[in-house]
Amino acid sequence: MNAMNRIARALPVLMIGALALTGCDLDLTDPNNPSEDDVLGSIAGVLQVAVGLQAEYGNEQVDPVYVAALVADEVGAGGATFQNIQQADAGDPIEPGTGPSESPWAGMYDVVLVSNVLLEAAPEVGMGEATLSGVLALAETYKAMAFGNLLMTYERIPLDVGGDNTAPEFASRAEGVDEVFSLLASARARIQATPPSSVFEDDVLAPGMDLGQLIDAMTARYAIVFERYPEAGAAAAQVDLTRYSEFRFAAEDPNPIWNLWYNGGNSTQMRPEDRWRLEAEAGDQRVGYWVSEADIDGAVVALDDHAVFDAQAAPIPAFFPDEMRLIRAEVAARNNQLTDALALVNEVRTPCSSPLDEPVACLPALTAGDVPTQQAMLAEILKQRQYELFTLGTAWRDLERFGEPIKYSWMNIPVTECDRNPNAPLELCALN
Amino acid sequence: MGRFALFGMVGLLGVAFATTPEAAAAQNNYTLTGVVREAVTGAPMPGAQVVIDGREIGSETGEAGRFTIVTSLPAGTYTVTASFIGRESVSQQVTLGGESTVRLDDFLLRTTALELAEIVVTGSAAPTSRRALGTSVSTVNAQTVNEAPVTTIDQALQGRVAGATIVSNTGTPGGGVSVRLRGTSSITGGAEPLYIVDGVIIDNNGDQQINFGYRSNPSNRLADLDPDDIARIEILKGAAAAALYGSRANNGVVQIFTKRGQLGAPTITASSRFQASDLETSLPFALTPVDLDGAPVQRFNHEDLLFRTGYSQDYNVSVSGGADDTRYFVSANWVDQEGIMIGSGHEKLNLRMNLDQGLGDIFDVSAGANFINSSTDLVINGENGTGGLLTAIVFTPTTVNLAEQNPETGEYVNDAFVFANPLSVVEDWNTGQSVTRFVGSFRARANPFPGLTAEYRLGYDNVDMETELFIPRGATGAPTGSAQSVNRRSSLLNNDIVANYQWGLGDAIVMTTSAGLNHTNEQVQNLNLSASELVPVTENVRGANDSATEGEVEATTLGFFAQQQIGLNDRFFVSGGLRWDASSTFGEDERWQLYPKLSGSWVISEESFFDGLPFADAVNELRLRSALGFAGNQPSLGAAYARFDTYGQTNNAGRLGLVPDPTSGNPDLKPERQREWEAGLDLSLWGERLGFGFTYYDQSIDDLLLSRPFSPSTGFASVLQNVGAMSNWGQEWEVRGVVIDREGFGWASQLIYSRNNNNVDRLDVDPFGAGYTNWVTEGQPIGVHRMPAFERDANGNIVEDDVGPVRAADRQIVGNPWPDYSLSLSNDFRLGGSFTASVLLDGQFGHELWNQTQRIMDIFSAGPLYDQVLRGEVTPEFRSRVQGIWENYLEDASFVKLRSVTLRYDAGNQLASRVGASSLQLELQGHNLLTFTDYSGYDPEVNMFGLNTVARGTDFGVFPNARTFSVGIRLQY
Repeated sequence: MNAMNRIARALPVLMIGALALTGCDLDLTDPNNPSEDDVLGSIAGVLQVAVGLQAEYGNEQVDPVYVAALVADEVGAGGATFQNIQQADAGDPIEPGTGPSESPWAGMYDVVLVSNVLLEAAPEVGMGEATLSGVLALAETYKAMAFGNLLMTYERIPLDVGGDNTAPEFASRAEGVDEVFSLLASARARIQATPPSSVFEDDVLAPGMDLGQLIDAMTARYAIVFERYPEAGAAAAQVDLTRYSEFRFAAEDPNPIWNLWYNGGNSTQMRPEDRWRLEAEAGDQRVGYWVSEADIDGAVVALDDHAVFDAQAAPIPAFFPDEMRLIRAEVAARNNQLTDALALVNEVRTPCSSPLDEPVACLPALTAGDVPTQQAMLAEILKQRQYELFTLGTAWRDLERFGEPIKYSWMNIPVTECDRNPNAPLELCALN
Repeated sequence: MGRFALFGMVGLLGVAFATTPEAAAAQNNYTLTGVVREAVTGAPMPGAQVVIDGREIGSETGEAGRFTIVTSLPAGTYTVTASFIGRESVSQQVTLGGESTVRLDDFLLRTTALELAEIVVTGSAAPTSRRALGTSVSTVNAQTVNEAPVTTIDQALQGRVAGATIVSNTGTPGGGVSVRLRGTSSITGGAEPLYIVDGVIIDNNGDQQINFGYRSNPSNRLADLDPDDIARIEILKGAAAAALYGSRANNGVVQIFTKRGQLGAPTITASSRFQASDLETSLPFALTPVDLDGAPVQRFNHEDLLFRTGYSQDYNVSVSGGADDTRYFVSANWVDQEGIMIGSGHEKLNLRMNLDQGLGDIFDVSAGANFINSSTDLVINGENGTGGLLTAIVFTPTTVNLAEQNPETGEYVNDAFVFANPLSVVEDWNTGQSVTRFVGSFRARANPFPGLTAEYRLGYDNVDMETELFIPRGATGAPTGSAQSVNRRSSLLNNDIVANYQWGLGDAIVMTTSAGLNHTNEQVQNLNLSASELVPVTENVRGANDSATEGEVEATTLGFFAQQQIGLNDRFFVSGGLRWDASSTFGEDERWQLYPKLSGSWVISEESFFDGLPFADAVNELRLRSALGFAGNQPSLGAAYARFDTYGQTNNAGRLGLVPDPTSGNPDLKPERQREWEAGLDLSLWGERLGFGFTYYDQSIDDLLLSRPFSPSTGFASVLQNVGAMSNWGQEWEVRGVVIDREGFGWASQLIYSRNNNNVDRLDVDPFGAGYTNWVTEGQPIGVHRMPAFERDANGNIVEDDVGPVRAADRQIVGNPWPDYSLSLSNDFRLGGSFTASVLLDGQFGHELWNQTQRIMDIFSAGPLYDQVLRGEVTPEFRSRVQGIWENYLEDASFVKLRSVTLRYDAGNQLASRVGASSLQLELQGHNLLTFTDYSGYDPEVNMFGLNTVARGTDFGVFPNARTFSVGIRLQY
């Protein structure tokens, strides 16, 4: 009994220890970064992800753009430091594992990931129908643009991707292209059925952007590039040509092209090739819009300086109205409606000024005699596209579509994807 | 709030004590006191253990060799044993009856080669005699630590512990030692052992906070502790011994015990030490006074500008004693150290109080408080190009006169090279680090009846550390100046409860049953302030542009353990234990992990059949032991939230947005798991004159955490996953001999040899690099050197062309930064009754160090290869070729250091009493006196990567370790 008594008196020692454990919480949360549950569990969080999606695309769009510009000889490497880019200038294959081969892929799939997050999470969080319509349409549009850019760079891509799926199957090219348009069509239908709320328009959609116009313009762009001409013409005709949408930037999220072209200081990675300026039609004012003449040392090819995107906050156009005119002209030309095509081409050639900040050619109008055949008309349209849409990402596919010689058809699938995704087709993993 | 609620609980405990203590009939309170002395000289021996046999109740002797054991026992006859590392243990019988205070006869301990009576408390839930342990726990006594002429504890351990690779990464005053026990057990996690002081888990971070060429200024916070306060250190080297520490024990455990007071009049100990340090060697700068065309030119040896003789002082006072049920130890220590490089220095104040209070017949409580305040003047080095001192001189052609000043302005020459002039950096910049730290411990113990003890321990370690970089207006590259201050506040809290019950089955079988739980919580807050365009004159972080960021991390571990020890006839011991623990770092499904252990020990020499064996007469003791155990490792604190998918901030045209973090969360994260098996024997021969210990161990570490890259189509970059495996295996040998032990002369000698092998067995990610040259790939030791190498033919000969050696097309694996084996030899001498001397040689063999310092000197026209060009011995083309072949600068860094030499004179009572003291000792010491090596840099021991797990073996402008001479005096009153 006495022993029991003594044990009982020793109990406080054990008790304080046991009480100490009441402060023991094993389910700690990260105070530095919001968790997925926090973010996707609230309407405000989901809307911030929708803003994040636009930031992600705004920043990552530069990768497919500069690779296309590089392959199409719009730009060349600014110095010997950029060996892998110089290889491209010299016409050699781009080494696997280097930036031009890897970064368009990784950047666009970052956009796809954020889009997928929104498509999955937004309907679950209980936001108003009109806001939800805007958010879902936005996610579909940006996902379509990411796939579209990927398909302009790589021959085949996986579509069914997600954070847990580390070995996605590659779709056929036709399936990929279909997916781009089905996403855009769904987005279009969504905002037609339920116009986005003012919350979406004012707080979510980036300033400078018109979602409906963007959907139509992107449908037109990818349709022409992927040679789906009737769709291209129809979509381009819907776009209001008195204004355009643009990606805007600020000091915290500088223009990525500025970052690439100007932030590198005197060793700027990529500069316009002289060739482009020299091959322009005499008097084309768009040359001066895009480039300024310069002598650059140490490059494989003769180079000029950029004349655009020279500030951190300089916007990047989502498209120019003239791109829509040229799409319609091309559709007409391919249908052998040369008169319609000529009128549209002249609408692009002749203006000497514009209320918008866009390149203007200020060239004389052409007559039917100047472009008597379908072939001549298509050649003229290609030329116009080359000077209207300089370094905007379409040049490589344009050369291919118009039957011009190209260095290579596609970028190889990045080594990182080939190494880590057992479903990556081996034949696409070879060197360019 | 929750974690501090328990301080309130301490008060609750006090209330419990206030209840009337009522002695049980069978049990009385006794206080046993006595003195332990060296058998030959009669000198008191602090740090000896005195234990009541079979009860595992004991005490350690204090400064004057005195001990006090306060316990509650039934009246009767007991055996009390005194033991000390390296000494034969001595027992005496004591009969406890009516007298409550019993004074024992003096214990006289002789030098011996093997010690099995020593009690070890770390790793076993209950204090356990070494003979019952299945593992080879290393212990280091107070004398070794207190008397080493160093300022940090880990430096004092160099060459003393089998199986430990202890490296002074840098000579920066104020620390910088990395410790690996039985090799490296992780890749992405930490690899340094868990440090515990008097039951408090302490912070040993090596955070540099600001890039002062940070990889060349590696420090670690163990340096804050005062070696003079240390009573004993126990070292568990792997999972087999440390399984009860669960998911924090893969890298082993080092437990440090500080001194405690003993009953009796106050003992006052005062000591001081003066040191002078200098640079042992110099670098081969290009000083041939011609230029490349052969024209005469003046050259300057910049090394002379940077190095000096550094003077240091170290003062220590302690008072210990006790009366009735109270015992105390208080100490104060002040160190002022000057580094051998200009601008470097370290000051430290260390205060400690340890209290032990008996409360009636059942309870006793102990508390400890340690306050530390230090400030270190760091010097920038290594990779930091804008202010590095050694960096500046290796990057500066020797034709530049760095000491030249503009006669008009007094400014140093600055425009001749890319870096700030080191002399102006030292004069104008402020690069300092200050630490304010409190380590507190509390222990309450109950001993309700013989055999049962229950103990609660609370430990708290709070470190406030601030690093500053102040570059005044007008400095090179910073016309408007810049300032940065990084504050790191960390707190570690641990709560432990353990209960032990010792019982018997008849006379032959002794059972010890233990169970307990352990809770730890670690929090780190980082605050980073920076400013540019400074306000003139002030030295604060204030300017036209300023910014601040904050980061916080927290991790909690909860563990339960149980252990059963069985002793059979005090000869055969088996012990089994289980630890079940969980950490907040891991995913819920994988969080709870079980770590079992099993060990056995057999003192075979005490079996009756042993006496019949032919060699039995020579053998005093032979023990066989083996153990198997599992333990875990958590990822570094930086990965405390790796299980979560998190979102990061982004901006779109000035609007705030969120996007998924590129690193995917892993909800299935679990600890790295080590399985360790060890076996060995301890043998002592010929009257305990020769002792021999051998251990073989084999560790396999599975579920190694690695950052696994994702296919980019996922939208994620990587995830932290348990996807690797690695192994360590090796052997440890110790031979200890009492060569001579006579009245006038004694000589004891100890040789330690250890060899570790490491192999990366499985790596489910691509091979990857770390540091400059280290490489992690399957089938190789972790962190092998891989670099641009010589092209070799089939016979391994270097291929040469007209210019010189040819560089191989691809990088090659050409060396290992880890030593094949290490060897140390310590000798202790005693001459007459007054003089003692000790000499320690310490060496590591078979590893390579990459001398990037010299490569940079060669490239920037300051090195020996450039000098050869100047002398016409090699062509300029040869030089530029060879500079590109990194392997040319990979050197064998095997070394033997004369680590320490100590000569001590004990003046004896008569002389001491003239100054009013009871004892007076004078010491003459040297540290790192000589280095035997083929390495051509300053110091083959340096490692610019500090505590880094994988990166190792690169010397790039690293502050070399100093050669130190010191003279000290120690008085006792």
